[in-house]
Amino acid sequence: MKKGPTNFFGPFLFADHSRQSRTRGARDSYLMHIVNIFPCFQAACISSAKQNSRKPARNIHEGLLNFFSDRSKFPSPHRLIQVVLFADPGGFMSAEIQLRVNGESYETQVEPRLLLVHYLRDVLGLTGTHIGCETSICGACTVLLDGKAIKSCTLLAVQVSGSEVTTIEGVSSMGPTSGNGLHPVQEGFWEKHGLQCGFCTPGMILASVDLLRTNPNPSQTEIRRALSGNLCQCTGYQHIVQAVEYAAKKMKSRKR
Amino acid sequence: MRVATRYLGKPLKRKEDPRLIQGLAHYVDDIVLPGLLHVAFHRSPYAHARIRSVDVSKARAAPGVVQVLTGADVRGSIGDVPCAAQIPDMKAASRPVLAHGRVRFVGEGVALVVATDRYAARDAIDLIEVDYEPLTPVVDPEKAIEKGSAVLYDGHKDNVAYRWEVEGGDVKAAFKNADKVIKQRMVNQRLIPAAMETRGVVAEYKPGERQLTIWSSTQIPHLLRTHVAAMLDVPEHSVRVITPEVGGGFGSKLNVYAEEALAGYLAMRLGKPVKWIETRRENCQATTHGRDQIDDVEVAFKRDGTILGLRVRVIADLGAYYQLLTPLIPTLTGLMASGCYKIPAIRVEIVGVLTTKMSTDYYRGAGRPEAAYLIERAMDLVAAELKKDPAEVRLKNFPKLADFPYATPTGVIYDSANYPRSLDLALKLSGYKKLRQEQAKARKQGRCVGIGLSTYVEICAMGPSRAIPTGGWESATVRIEPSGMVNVMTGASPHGQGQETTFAQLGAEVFGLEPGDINVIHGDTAIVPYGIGTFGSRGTAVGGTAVYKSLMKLREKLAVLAGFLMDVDAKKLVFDGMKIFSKSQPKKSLPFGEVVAAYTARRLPPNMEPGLDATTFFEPANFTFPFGAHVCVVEIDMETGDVKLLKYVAVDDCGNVLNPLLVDGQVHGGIVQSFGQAMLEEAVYDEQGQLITGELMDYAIPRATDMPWMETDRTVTPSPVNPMGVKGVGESGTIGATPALANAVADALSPYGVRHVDMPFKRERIWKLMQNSSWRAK
Repeated sequence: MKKGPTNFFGPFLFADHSRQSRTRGARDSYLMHIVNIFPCFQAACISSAKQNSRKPARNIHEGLLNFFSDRSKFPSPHRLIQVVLFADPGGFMSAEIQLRVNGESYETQVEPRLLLVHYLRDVLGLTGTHIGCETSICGACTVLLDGKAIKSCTLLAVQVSGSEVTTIEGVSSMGPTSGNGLHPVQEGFWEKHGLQCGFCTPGMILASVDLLRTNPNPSQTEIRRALSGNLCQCTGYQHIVQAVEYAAKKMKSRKR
Repeated sequence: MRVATRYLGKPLKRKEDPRLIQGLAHYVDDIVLPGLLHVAFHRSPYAHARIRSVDVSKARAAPGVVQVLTGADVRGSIGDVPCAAQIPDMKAASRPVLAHGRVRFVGEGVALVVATDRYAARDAIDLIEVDYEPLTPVVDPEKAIEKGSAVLYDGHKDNVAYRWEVEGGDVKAAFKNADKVIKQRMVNQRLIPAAMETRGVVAEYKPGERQLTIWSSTQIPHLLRTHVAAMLDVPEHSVRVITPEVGGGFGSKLNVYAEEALAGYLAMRLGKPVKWIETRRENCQATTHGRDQIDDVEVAFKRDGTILGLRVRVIADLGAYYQLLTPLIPTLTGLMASGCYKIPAIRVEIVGVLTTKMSTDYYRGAGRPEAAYLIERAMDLVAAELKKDPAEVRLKNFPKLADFPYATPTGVIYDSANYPRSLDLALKLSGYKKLRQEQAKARKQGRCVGIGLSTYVEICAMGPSRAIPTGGWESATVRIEPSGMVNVMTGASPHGQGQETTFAQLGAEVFGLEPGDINVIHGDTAIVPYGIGTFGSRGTAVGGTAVYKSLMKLREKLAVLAGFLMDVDAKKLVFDGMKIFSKSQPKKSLPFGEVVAAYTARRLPPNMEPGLDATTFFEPANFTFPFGAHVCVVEIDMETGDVKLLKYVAVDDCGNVLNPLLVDGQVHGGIVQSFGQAMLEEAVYDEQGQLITGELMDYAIPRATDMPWMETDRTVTPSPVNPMGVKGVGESGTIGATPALANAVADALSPYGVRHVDMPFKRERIWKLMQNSSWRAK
């Protein structure tokens, strides 16, 4: 992990929450609460801009955008940053972001504080991604960011400008699909009754897709571990485990 | 009626799934309407306080805010939150939709903001200034009914909401003649149902048509419609309730909430559609809680293990206000206290107590998990006292098969059962004898291993209307289109239970079609006849029976029509393979699509009306009583108090099974929620009445890593209550599993002098116990 942020932001105020908010693929995850950092922050913006040969931010808003969109500053995409906006208490500033979502490109003006999940649901109308809590525990908001599972309730849309997002609506095009147009993980959930009310299901499917990307032949223990950041109250998880096993088998047989 | 034919009894995958697995379904927050406004609530941060004043001027002036309302603004315009349950002499405890003058729990709504977007609404909430005068919180239900406690309602002399009792048999004599009596206090802790989708409501009013449409994440669309219409004082026919996809309910959405009526009111007042989506914190604070009983249990028995009598005193913590069924829930514990045992004398006394907390109400099992827990723990305590095997003590006390239908002293009549058979199967599957041997070995090694049993029975398929405050019948209309497509409109309101598939299987079986030809519709009060909804494991047992009867009515009509057209005796006709044909003369055959003749009506049998439409309102004569036996093994780490579940075996009997895949899913889900209660969950209010467990970070629900593989099997004892012989299964796992887990933990700790541990079995609790036990003394 680069040393950058720790120089500017002082000690972390919260303990490691990675166990509680684990998604497969997140290397380090921590919750940072930044208060009263304006002087350091501005310095950080200017400094980071210099490091990245970008023009320095003219104000805190641009600085914010520069800072957040510089992915090298954030080795883990799984980080919540709460910034006190001194310049504009009403919060009516906006920033322009560029995103590719399910293969389509979007350029949008958003409030910096807009959560990625709200951007996907309310701005793009992709309501398949769900919100089940506000503390990044439940995993219903799981999407793929540049191919890796993250919790979209814990990211700001401005943080992911320049990235590629896949939501449940885009999973089937990730292939390989059979004649029914479904991803093998989706098919597994259907075949094995891996869902009842369906609310946790999109997040569960995306977390499973991410698991199989890095571990194509997971054991039941590994499946449960990978899905420990996705809560389900309906199924008791057993059929979900079977669904992922089904998908793993199907994907293996397709590769031949 | 035979089961396991072409579609019934088969593990068909669900028709619901394609839209859910592709993110194409619509839950209430997915509903978007032009001009939609967003609602947010200011909720009381105090458990008990007077409201001196509410200043909303700053909030009104905030960017994007359209309206701000307080309790004073809506008083008199919206009726109180309804309670359908009536207990004799119960005190009033009705809740205004927005608090006025006084708040009685943390999270009670005091004011609301309507704004152009959800972020603006949330910003404006912080600008509302309320001057609270704190009063003494009332948190401990036992202290709440003592003299000197602060009282929640000025008109009441104390915080007792009601006293209720049920008694049967000669209880005094039973205790007098007993060889032994055991007393044990058991706590069944308060739980948060925590459906993954929080509540939410969208409301839209069309003034021209005078039509108020409410989309709500609810389990009871028609009941909601009736009550909201009453609360808003508008004609019932001008309210339409649509249930979109519902992300879990577990009973917490079997209710009529303040926010639902307020949304309707706002839509009518503002002329714009409004949406309110509950945050998880609000869900923890202000959606109904489950359980919360303190049970003082006394059991009288003979030296040979025969149970003579049972006495239970229940303190039921109801919270500050009644929601729809709040007072009723503990009475179900009273009714089911005898479990699956022939106990000749039972007395259950319930004191319902008002405290400064959110209302308790229906949560998966609703009163029956509490009953199963107390009687199953009691059986194990008796076994431990007599140094007998817990399975042996249970077998001794089961009613005989000839005793069924079995009437308990509490006035309930169990429909059908075979308890020894399910217990035997569970013991066999788990290798019980071997487990006990392994336990003995482990104990010699100093390991702490426990084996827990539970044999449970529960009351469901709610139910005979005389016993259900909301009415307990269910409706179904089956309508065949001219094209031959079959529509089943059910008053049940599934939210994951899969009736779109199960009822399609039924329709396919009855008409000889395929499940894809049967379209099941639910949840829209404009389309579906009045229904009671889905809760109490009644979807298939009651709702499905109404569907079955309507299907059969139409099949009879079709047979007469086809017989008339083909000149064949209607009684000899078979519906199969998309055809209607005569068994004895197979050439006499019509494709099913020929039913359009009922619509073209050129040649109809005498006295037959055109059209193909049949409606049934099915009133069940009794509840049904699923039952089963669970066995589990735990190991406790003595140094840390960590309880690890090593093995779980469940045998459940839900009568005839229409779709085994779905039944398994219900059993798994119920067992894991039970695990949650036993091991992880408790809704905690501190001495100030603050809800400590206010987010999923603090209220721990089970994860995929918590469970071992659950081995499940079933016995099938059909129910005589309905023609399909189904009992219902949605709550069985939740009722049977908690006692098994609790018994396992108590068994593990028994060598160290520990007789009983209250749930949840958190490490801290077990560790403390171990520090104070003979284990530490070694």
